[in-house]
Amino acid sequence: MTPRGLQLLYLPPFSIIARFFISALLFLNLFGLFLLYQYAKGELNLPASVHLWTLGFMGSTMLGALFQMLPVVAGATIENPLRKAFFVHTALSAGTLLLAFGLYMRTESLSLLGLLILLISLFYIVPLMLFKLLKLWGTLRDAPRGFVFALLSFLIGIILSVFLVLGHFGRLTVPYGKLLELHLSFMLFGWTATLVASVAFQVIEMFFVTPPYPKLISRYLPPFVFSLLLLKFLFPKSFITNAPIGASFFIFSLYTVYLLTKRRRKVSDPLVSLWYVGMFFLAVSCVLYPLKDELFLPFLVSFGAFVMSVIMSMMYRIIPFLVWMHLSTKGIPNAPAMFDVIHPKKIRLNFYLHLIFLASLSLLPFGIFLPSLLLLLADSLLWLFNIAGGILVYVKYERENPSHLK
Amino acid sequence: MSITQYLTEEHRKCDTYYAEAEKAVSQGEWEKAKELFNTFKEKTLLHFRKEEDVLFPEFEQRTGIVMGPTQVMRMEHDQARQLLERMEQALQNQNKDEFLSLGESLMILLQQHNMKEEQILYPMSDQNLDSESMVVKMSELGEV
Ligand code: HEM
Ligand SMILES: [Fe+2]
Ligand SMILES: [Fe+2]
Repeated sequence: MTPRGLQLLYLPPFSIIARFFISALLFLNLFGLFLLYQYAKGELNLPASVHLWTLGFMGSTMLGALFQMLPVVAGATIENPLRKAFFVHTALSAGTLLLAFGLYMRTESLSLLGLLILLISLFYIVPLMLFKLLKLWGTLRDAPRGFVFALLSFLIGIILSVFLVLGHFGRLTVPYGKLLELHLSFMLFGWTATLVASVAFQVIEMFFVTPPYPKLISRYLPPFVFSLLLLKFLFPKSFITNAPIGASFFIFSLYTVYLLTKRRRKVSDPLVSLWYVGMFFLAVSCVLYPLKDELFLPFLVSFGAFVMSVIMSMMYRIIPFLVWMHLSTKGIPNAPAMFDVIHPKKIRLNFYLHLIFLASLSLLPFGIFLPSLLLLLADSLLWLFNIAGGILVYVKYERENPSHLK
Repeated sequence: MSITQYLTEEHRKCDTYYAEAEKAVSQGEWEKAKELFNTFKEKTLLHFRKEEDVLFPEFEQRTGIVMGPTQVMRMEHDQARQLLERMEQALQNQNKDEFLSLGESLMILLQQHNMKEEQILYPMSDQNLDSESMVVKMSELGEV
């Protein structure tokens, strides 16, 4: 009994989440620059661009968030988290850069090296996190149970990607289309959307003071979607599996909007609006998912807009809170309140810029790309500056109060 | 009634009190805000007292766990009390930004605090203590 209680003491070091979030935003900016560069040259290398985003931006954010949430939300302690996070983060960043560059240059050796480094990093941390969670399964609430299905999907998606890379360079004859369909479905819905939903089960109620999700959604959505994904091994491109996967998250997005309108804290808040925006794009991408053979890019873009909006909302709440929490726990008197870490005016500005960027996406079908590219860069750059500024507040206080160091 | 039910109910009430105070502040209705904030503060502190004076000591005695969860809970109560003081100051100075900012920290702190109590500490208490008599003792301190 004691150990379970003692885990409550454990707040992971701030540098872990700071490191992952900063590099996620660096990757987002790199992604913007890379698209602009390709635009200038009149080309688009989809896999290279997609993985800068999905591994660099999303992967970094999500793994960093898991390092933070496993102990706090699930009571699952990761021993020596600093060393593990340092290793995983470095390998993830290096591997992603090499893989993307290799895919872009069509250089097999670089891509394989990138793949290898990614595999070392991910095959180390993903099973470890799974193991920690499964050991506590009986005591876990719905959110961390959802993490389990997300991590399982991630693992399957990674294994599939090995065959894809080998197939991509003609090393292996594989049913490429089928594998690609499975890979991206496991990664986008099994891993990404399931993790976002599970986090939502926990934080929507907590940040905005709403009623909880019904059990039917919070307990059964992740395993239901995971089972459908497994079924896709038998019917890879079938409407029978794709429609219910889309429908599940469509319902989730509608229900989240409904909960947010029921929130007890009625103060206007761009971070709530970001959830509305994110859920709108999730709903759109759910509709497009069964139709993605014809509408692949619109599907990817709306999925990206969903993830980006939700991550923006969460980062802007988590970083200021954690800065205050860590400094306050260290006993620093009058630790900077959240608005002193990142002022809401800055967040609001970023929010408006983000809305303009999202609006500009409607020009894409007409072949007008430049405004979106420039706005994406502006959006990401401001975001990076704001988060980095918040982290610097922490660094400054910590320097000034060395005696409070634990 | 179980300890879990009884105290969880109080958490929900406090959330509502805060939401009302926050709304008044953001609309700049300072007199109303002061009144609502006072209710929120009093009720929250009363809830803390029920835990610190009644529940935690009994929990520690029955389970023998002294340096565990109750210690962390007390520390978080202290952090919350500091924030409440600073919020009261902000309210005196009619500083909307400051108030809302501190309130945001307080809300997240309390939400994750409450979650830990509701998921772990209260159920453990219901298992190990006499729920009925604990609820009676806590009710004697007042109503949130
Ligand atoms: C170990 C990490 C990963 C590797 C090695 C990898 C590799 C690959 C490869 C080789 C392709 C096929 C490219 C092509 O021929 O078009 C692909 C496609 C794709 N992957 Fe991954 N992937 C990884 C992780 C991810 C993650 C984490 C996500 C999303 C969360 C993701 C999403 C996608 C998508 C959406 C596509 C289809 C778009 C495209 O064809 O470029 N991948 N991946
Ligand atoms: Fe408490
Ligand atoms: Fe409590």
